[in-house]
Amino acid sequence: MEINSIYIIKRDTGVCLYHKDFTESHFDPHLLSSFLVAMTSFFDEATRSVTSQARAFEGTHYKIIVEFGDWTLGAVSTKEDTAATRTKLKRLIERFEEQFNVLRWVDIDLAVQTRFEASVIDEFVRSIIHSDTTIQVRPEWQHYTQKSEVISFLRLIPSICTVKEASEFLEIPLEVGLNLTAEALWEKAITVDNPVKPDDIFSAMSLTGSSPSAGPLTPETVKTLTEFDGETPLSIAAERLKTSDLKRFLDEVAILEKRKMIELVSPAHSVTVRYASALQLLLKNCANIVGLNVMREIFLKSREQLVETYPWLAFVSLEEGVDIELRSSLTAATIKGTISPDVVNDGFRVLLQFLTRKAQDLLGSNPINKIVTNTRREVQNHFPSTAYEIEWECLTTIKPS
Amino acid sequence: MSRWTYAALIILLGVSFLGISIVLLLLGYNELVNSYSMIIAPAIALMIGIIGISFFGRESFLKEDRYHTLNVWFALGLVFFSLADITAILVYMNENSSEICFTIGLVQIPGLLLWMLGIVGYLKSLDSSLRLTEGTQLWLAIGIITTLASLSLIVIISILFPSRNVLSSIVSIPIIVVLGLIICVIASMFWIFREGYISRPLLLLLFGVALLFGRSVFWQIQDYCEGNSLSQIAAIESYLILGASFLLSSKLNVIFESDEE
Repeated sequence: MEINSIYIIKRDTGVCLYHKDFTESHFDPHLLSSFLVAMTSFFDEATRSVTSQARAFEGTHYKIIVEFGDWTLGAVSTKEDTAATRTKLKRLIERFEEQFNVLRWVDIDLAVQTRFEASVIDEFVRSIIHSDTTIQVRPEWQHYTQKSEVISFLRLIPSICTVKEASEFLEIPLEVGLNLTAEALWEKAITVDNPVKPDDIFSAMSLTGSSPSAGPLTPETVKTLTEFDGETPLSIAAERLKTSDLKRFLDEVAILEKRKMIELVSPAHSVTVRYASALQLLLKNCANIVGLNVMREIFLKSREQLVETYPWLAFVSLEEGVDIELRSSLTAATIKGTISPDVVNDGFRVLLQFLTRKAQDLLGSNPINKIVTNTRREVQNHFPSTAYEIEWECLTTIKPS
Repeated sequence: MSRWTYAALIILLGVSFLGISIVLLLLGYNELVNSYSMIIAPAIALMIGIIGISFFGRESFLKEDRYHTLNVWFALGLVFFSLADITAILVYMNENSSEICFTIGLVQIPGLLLWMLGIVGYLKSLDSSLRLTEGTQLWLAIGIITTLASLSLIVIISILFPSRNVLSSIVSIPIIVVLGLIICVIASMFWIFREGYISRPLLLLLFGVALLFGRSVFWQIQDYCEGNSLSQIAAIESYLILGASFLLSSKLNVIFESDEE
């Protein structure tokens, strides 16, 4: 789970209106909310500014990030302060203020804790559960949950299985299975683990790992460590290492991840790498027909036209030929998560569609559709689980009536 | 002026040249047309060849730009065609030569090979993007088609017309087959890209090569590589059309010019 706990606090009184702890800690939410309100007020006073507001409080192993609504303040205890987490928190505050607007004026019991549960699950829990997420049912899980649908779900599924397997086993739609898993996780009746996928991108963190006592690594595993540069998906890394057994390779990666020697890159960075790869393949395939210079010019002119709406696209340029180069500023922003994956996704999607339309003027609809189909297939080889997230432009042939 | 305008001017020049030559021929100035077209044909081929190399030669090979490479091979091929035309002048001046077609054909062959090199390279590049064929060896396929078609035609013509010069047929028939093959490939490319801007230079390329093909077929039918005015005019028109095609190819980014307007 990307967050440890969440708090929604009334700004003028410092009363904690809603809180949820995803860990086993028993920290007093009211104490924390009073502290946060006091500190934010202090910052406002000290800087004598209406606009300047405290945005985060940093500890050794955690950060408390703060976002402000009209009359509430949301705080999340997390490991990393990322744009994605902040966006989710902002959305959650908006939903809270809309749903419980009456609390702004009067203090009444609106059963916030239970009625707001669905919104929090939707923002913070559901997003980490996918069809291939492994469910591990906790021993004595019955003590954790009272919800009848969760109880019936957990009673019937095997103690370790994926969400997809559980859904198929119970003959329920996958979407229902995903929602039930999210509720079970919310109730702490299960733990979930997302397996390493071929399109995951890792970056090397440490050469020795945090637990040397876990024993020495095999030479093959150590060799794989060199491929984690934060830009290469595991499918390509496996190709480079000439790995014949992909499953074994993914297991080795999981070992390295558990030892904290490698770390999954941020979602924004992952989206950037995926789109950069797709863009490069599309440009290369078009350049094979119309030439490199023309495609370079199409890319640069398209970027120029879009940079006003998406300023960060200025940091996406071309190396020799049509190789995409991501400038270090953009890479740093995506790695840190200071730019949200949605923003990156949106900009690249428009750029990709822009390029496709320009290439259509040169080549016509049918050839460009064929190129897009072939490019999509190539991208799917490298990003089998996430390639579908790229929104390609499909062009229709206009036939004279 | 954009290169599209230059291309239009070249085409206009070709049309004007054709018009003037026809008028002069109708008025009976055959000798005059014959003389100037003999000089102009190699000069135009050489000039267009050099222009093409200057447009595309600098970066094509270094950057593996296939489309530019295709144009470079065609430009280099034109230089060889200019040599063939110069040879033709020398041969016609030396009337006692009995192997005119053989001599001209021999000089044309390196130029044609360069064109084939360009076409096959571009076809491979096209195939890697559009996946038109499933793992076919293009070089092998084209080589087999050319050889089989040439051999069959040589045998057929030798049987049907035993009086014809076999040596001349051995050179001129493969030239016709290769030119025919190039026409088929370019026509297919034109059909694939018929909706896009790239079809325009391809269409001009198709017309240019088709004129040379027509001339070669005409020579073969006549069993004599005649250096008359019509033959030279066809060559000049062909070279000019190829030049216009180069100009259009070097300015495919015109799609942005239309945006800016």
